[in-house]
Amino acid sequence: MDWCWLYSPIVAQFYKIYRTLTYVGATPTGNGIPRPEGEFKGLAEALDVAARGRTGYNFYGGSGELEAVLPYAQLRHQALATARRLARLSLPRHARIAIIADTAPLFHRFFFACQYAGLIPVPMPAALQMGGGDAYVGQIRRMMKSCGAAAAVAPDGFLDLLQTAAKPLGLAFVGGEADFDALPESTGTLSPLRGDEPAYLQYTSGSTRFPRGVEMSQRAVLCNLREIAEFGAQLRDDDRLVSWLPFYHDMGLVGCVLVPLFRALSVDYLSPRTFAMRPRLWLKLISENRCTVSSSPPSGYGLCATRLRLSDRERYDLSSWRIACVGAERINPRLLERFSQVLRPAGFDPKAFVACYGMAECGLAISFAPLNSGLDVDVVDKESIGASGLAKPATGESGVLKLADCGAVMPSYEFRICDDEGREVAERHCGHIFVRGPSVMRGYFNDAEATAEVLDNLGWLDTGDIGYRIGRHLVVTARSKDVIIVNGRNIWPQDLEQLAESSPGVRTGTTTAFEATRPNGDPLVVLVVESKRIEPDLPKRIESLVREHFGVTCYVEIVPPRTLPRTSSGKLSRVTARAGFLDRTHWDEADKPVPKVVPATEGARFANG
Amino acid sequence: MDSPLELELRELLAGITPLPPDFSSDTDLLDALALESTQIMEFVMEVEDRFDIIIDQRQLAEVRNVAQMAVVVGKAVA
Repeated sequence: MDWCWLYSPIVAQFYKIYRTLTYVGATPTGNGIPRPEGEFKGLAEALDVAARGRTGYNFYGGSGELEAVLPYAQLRHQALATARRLARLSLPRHARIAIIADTAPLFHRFFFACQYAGLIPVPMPAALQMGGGDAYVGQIRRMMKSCGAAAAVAPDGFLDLLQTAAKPLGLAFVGGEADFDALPESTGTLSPLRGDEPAYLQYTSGSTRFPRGVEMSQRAVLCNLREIAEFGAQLRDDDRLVSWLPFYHDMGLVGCVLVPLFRALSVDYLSPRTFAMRPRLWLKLISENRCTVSSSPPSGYGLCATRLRLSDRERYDLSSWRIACVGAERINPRLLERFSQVLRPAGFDPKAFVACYGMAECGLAISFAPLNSGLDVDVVDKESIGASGLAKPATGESGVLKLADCGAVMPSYEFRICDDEGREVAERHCGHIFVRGPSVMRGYFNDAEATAEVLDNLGWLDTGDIGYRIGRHLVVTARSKDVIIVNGRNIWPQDLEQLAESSPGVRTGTTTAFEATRPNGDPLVVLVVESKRIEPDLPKRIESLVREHFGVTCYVEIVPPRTLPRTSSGKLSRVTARAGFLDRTHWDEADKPVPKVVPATEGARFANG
Repeated sequence: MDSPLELELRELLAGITPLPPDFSSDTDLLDALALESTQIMEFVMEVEDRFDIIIDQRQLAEVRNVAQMAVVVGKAVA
């Protein structure tokens, strides 16, 4: 008998596929394949390479149990089959496919099917607020309209909402996984997206009323992935990631779906909802799977520290966690200090904190703090930075501002800090942060006007953020002067204003929204509303509207007409409005705002007048 | 009259935020209680743990008060 067929490569290949398909535990750490030479032409090619190994994506459920395992090999197989089905829809190349980005394998399958089929995936939010079904339908409808979606897919739990949202838009195909599976596979050749073709559209930027989709090319996102993997996080073959970040945010999509793919690493996912309910599961996963890399906005570390039972912490061993990225919102060092304090006994090393700065307009990252050194806080004189914008290192203990150093701008970027007239300012002077480089977006999809506002014809991107530099290091003092960031979510003041103006008794152009900082450093969302009469219910009504649409508590202040500062062209100035609000406001022991003038007296005054 | 289930849910809620004296099963959790999204998630977690059920996001989108939450829980434990 000739047994040598047993050793044939074909059999070995089948055995490998069989092993992959019948795998029951989570994917292992370490891919077991050599790192490829050269550069990827597209995300599909990165998946082709990752699929040669054993690693992949693992999805954990609401009580931390392993729910689904998706090795790269299996993902590739499924994505190719789905791509052939999408091809049956005969959509033009670069047609947009909206994907409700719940934390489930469906997202990866369709995202990569689009890569193979030459279609552009558009991750859509999958976050329902309590009692917020209608608000959600409106939000995804506006996004699908903005990107001109040709087809849309949702996991079963979201399908009816997606169908309602898509109804007036006349998409070519809307369905769940089963509906797409029922399409026959096309036999034609697939031609994956590559080079300067788009990679995806991302709606993290811009308000929900006026959504703006960041269009990233394959080349641009691959450039950012390489820099994150090699320069920023200096990923190793034995790294393993854990993430609870949503796939419809840049930190979740780029940082926790694409970065691991690029380096063929395994990832363990929890849904954002599971994390919000049981933050300890994050620590449990890191502990049990010996994860090395996990990222969160500062508020995530804060939530985890607040909700953790101290008696539970002995159960965790966080000593494997070498990179704890912090980004996506202004970094409040206090939250991170609290986290390290609580979790040091569980082996958490505060040196693991790595501050990062970036935005969807550049894929994800612009700057990365050095590894193994923890959060570097620049302590500056409060008076000086407030008055002249000079971040003078503080000499004493009082009157200081502690700002996180967000690390060195990555090598592929040029950057400059400019004053209001566009002139470059010196080191340690605050100004507008501009960047230029190969991972900057192509623009906002189908929105030349919005693109021109931020991107000039020499390729400089106005980040909208304010900060100063120390050498090549960036310190961000204020994220985009308008955007309000609460619990890692961007909320655009225009959305809050429009919502407030939709209540009876409030006129258009008489409200202004902004973020104020409480004395303890926490953000407070403020909506100032001009009204002729004091209606006792009005603040409460607006607060509940905001809660329903955005899931956050805001503070509503009613002021007499013509209180809000207007520019010479009649536009409301949010910056001046914030200063006015701070002048009118005291803070109580709980850091809650209290008007200096008792509202009743005020009310009586303008009821009479 | 509140059902035993509603009373139990009320008790869980009281562990998260103080309930006003006029609180009832129809009190709107967002408007009247001003629950924030992180508190809502804490409440949902308590409910899931107490009844050993999983409440999916979709069902939650229709819930505004304890009475409606009781319907969701009732269906899940049935």
